[in-house]
Amino acid sequence: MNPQQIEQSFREKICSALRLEREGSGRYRVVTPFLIGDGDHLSIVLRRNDSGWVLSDEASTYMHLSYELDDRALDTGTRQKIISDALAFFGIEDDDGELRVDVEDDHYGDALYSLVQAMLRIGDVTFLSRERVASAFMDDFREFLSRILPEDRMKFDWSHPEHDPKQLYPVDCYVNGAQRRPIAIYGMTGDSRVRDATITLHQFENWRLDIYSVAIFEDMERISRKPLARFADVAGKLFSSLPENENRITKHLEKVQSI
Amino acid sequence: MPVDLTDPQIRELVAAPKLLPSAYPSILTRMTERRKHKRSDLEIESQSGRFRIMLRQNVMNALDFSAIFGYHMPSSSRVFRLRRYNGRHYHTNKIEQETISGFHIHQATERYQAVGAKEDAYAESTERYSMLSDALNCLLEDCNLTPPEDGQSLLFPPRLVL
Repeated sequence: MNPQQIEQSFREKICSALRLEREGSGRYRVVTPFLIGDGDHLSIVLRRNDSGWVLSDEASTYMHLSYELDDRALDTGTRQKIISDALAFFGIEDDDGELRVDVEDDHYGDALYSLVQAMLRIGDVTFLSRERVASAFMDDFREFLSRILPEDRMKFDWSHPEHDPKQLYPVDCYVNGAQRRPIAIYGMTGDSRVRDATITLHQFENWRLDIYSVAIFEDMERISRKPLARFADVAGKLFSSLPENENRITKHLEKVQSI
Repeated sequence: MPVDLTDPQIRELVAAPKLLPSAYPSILTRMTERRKHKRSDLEIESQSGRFRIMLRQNVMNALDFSAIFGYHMPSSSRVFRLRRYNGRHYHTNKIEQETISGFHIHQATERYQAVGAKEDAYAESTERYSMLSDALNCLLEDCNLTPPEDGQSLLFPPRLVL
């Protein structure tokens, strides 16, 4: 196919998937080929009001987000910024949860593209769910330790082979001691991981294992006070975050390994 | 792409008997409204694990609703959506290359997780319900959720009060 034919194919494919379905007087469902990650199509309505035509998601975008996120999580921080930036950039109004754009000067196509892109951009804030952010931190945690620790002495997702065959008390990264004291390094993304590590370190004490522990937090300020206090009683060294402490962590581990 | 739950695990979680907490009617019918939709959530503890029922009702469009049955993944904050009983809108099953309209039921599958889609990206058309209260009753039946012995057999009065 030549470029003109390819272009024609693009147009036919997109145009054939776009249509209006009448839903009543002055109201149409805009059927598009654009999907959310669960296969549902973007829900868009074209309706007439006193001042002309308006395209609206009729609150479907935020309702869909509520399947995975609490509404309040959208009011502050990075998610709120992404949403407000998308609305401003694409000229979309947020009317108490309804995303809408007035069609001006008969520019129906422009209005539709703007609303579609805003809906897709806002829908992507689910990628900032705590689970996904925590996953990214653990990736960084592993990459950093792989960079600074000798490969033949470290093991991710370690558990004690004799005391813990069922792997109930895992360590995120274990550095074997050879002639030195072994080190258990934990990546802390939230309260539940802190609690689990506290239990594990208590169990190590019960088993009389001499293992030095280090915890690297994604953001220590987000950990609840009590779990953090309990953990601090059994842990060796805590670092409040990773990016700002890479040098300190490296020096500390070098120092501990030489003891 | 790695999958979180296999098809046998999904079937087992859906089919396992689960008892609703005694306060389930009041919790589910007490919906809060924000951003032009109403919502209520119910946590369920069972021998099979922790689950959540989520109800959503669009205030602007009565046919846009969702009754969701999710499973709390262990050691995670994530709720894995096992079933989702949706209102009327378009849906495309990307793998099967088929588009459906109308009321439909999303189901978690291994094959959609494997291609990087949401776990419940597969859906089938249904004529079993046309409003949220009936969708919820289908969810309770399909997912083996039973009221406590002293509870009412019908969750809602004939029409859900929003």
